[in-house]
Amino acid sequence: MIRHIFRRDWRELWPLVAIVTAVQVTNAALWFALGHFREPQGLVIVAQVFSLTIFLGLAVLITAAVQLDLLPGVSQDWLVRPISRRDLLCAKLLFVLAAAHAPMLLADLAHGTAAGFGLRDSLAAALSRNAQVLLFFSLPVLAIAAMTRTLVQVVAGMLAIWLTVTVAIIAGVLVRGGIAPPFAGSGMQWMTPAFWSVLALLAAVVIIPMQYFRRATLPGRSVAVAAVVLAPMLSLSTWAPAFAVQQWLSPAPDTAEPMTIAFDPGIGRSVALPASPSADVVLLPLRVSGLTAQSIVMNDRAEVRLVRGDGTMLYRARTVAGIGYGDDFPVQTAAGGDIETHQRVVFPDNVYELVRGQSVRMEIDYSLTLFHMEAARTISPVNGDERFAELGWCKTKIDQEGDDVELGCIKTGGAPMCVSVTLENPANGRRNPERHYCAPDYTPYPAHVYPDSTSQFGADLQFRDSDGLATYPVDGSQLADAQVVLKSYSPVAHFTRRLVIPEIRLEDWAAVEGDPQVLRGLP
Amino acid sequence: MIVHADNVFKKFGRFDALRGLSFSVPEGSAFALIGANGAGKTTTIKVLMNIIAPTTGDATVLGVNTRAVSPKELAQIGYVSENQHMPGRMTVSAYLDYLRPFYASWDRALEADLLGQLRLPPERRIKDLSHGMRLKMALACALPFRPKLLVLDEPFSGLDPLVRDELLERLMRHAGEMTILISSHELAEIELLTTHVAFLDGGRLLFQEAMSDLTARLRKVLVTLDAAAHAPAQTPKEWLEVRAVGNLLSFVDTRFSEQDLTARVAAVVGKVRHITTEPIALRSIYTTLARAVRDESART
Repeated sequence: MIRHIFRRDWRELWPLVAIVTAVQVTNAALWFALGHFREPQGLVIVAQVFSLTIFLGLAVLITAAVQLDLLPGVSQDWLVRPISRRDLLCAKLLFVLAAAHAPMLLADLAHGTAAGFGLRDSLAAALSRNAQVLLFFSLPVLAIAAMTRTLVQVVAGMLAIWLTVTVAIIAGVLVRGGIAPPFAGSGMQWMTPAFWSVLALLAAVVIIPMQYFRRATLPGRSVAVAAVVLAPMLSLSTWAPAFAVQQWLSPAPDTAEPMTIAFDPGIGRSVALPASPSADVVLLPLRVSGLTAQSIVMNDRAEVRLVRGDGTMLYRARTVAGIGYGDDFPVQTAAGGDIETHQRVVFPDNVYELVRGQSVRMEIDYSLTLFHMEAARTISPVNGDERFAELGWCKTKIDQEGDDVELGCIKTGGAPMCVSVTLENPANGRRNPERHYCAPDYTPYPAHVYPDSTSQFGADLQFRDSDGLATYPVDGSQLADAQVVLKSYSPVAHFTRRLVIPEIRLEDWAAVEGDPQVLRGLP
Repeated sequence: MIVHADNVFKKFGRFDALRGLSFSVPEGSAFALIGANGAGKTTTIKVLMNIIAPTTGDATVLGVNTRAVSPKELAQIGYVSENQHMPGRMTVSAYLDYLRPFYASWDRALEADLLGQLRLPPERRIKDLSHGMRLKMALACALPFRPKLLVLDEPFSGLDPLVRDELLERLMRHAGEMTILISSHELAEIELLTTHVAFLDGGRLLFQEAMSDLTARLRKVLVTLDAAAHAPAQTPKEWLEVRAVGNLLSFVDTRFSEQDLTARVAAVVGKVRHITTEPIALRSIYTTLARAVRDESART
């Protein structure tokens, strides 16, 4: 009877299925049309609206299908019909797959293959996205729809969940004195949505059978409330255990073992980047050793402690304020071995003034991630058009002002986490400054659901300063001989290190006023 | 017994909807559940249909515990309720098309006959049907598979007399083919149909009895006395609604017996000039017994 119920649902809801399918197809077509450079800009906004509308459409469609045979209540006709609850549930799941996810899969597949990617790659990306949307969105929506009577109740329920979690997180920030949740802005922030997704999936897996086989609406709603209450709990976690989990998930943890960090006064002082007026900046000269060639070390988090000789803790905080990745510990090497760098530590004025002249013990606990180069490819800077296995389909062009090389790539699945791009002239060996585009995201599974199963990334490489103030080693006259060198990096190990400086006076290592330049470790 | 309830309790929060309800429905009977609003009639039916589970106690339908009623049993049970929510967007014919495959015994000729007799417009959406038409629709969906048991929960509620008669006529035509369990306030209508009756009050069964026994047992008795009548200070418990007007004394005798009636009356009121008896309609039986229960409750 599964097919019979499914056919009835389809007959009743085909106009809605057609609308949602049209939105999915339009979404894929728009992102395909926007191409490598996401042009025209106005269309990007339209495409983004369509990408979000897909999720609204899925929610409406799933709710409509589930609520054709309402579960809460005692007056529904189907309750007194010889309809197997198992068949009913299977028919609804079949409908979700066929009416909501099959069009998504086909639209993704069509976009991937139309963009010239192989059927296997396109299908893998489309399946991955579909599986995630199914598990972490469609099934939870199905569960909510199974506990409610109308679409309005579903929307109200989803809004209530969102509002509750948001308020709880904001309350957590306020309780911590305005400090963001520990993973915010870090490569580990995947843990929060992953935790929510797992909670939503677990709740759905409990609620759906509970509703279909026992019609236990009140207990089902209690499970949902419990999941919502648990959702903000991860933000109460501290950094160390979460990073321990991330370390455990490292693809190649041994690769970071040789790496050491040492305080090396011989390197000397460095000039400062503009610092906030209420803080004082110390730049510690560090020697980072044991790096393999073509590697990058990202500082996920560093906590500094100042301890007086008698053991009194004077100060304990992160090395830099705020969330995200500052350039407080820039380490990258092409050749490997040792590199010199400066660790930026920002102290509040009152703390700095208190201890600047004192001899104190400084300890820094690092949570670091080692990236290894995954691929290095070249492409012509003018109208380049190349396909790379690791980086996808890339194109280049000169921008309208004639001072930038624009690089745009389309890839099935997610974009590379970290890429570096430079313009070089192999004929004379000149290179323009390398630009890095790193957005650490250490999700241990392929997590890409937006805007569709493909992703786009790119870079602008300036070769001429229209104001005439700067000159570039590879300028416009060399473009015919030049090439864009594109490297992608992926994380191989997450690890911790502790730097201990037994005696230090902060004022000895205060930043020197001058032109911003701390990237001394870069080649 | 096609339906049997044994000490069934159902609580909704602190409210006891059923309090130790026990009754049995003989196969082939037309069994009426009668009671005031809140007596527990609809709750009883929902328990029997496994729409809700009893808090404690057991009930069986077609020999199966109601908690385990499955599609196999539901394929033999027709159900019509004033509150039945059918999918409003579907048309009459589309819904019948949908239901048909669920019943192996669906009789298409009977379905067509019902649609014609009940004048149901096949292409009209269910949500556009009037209340009466929806009840007809429910009946048209409940009969074509020739159920062993037909459960009717207030099927005549809110219907105009014409539609009520149409439904009743249709039910009476099928009455001999199946067991009917009906709850209704429309006692005059169901009296024509009913073979057995159960009185519910406050979630409990007051009694159940075959209709023939009940109408034989309960009679209105009119006693003509020689002198002016007065309601006796002490009346037998089996006399209800005792009234005296002029030299006439009337009451409802709940243990009526033709043979010893005169002697029993004389023992209470003295010399009797004349006694006549009248059968009582189900509606009057219900109101008499309901009042008696209410008065008894007020006393205790």
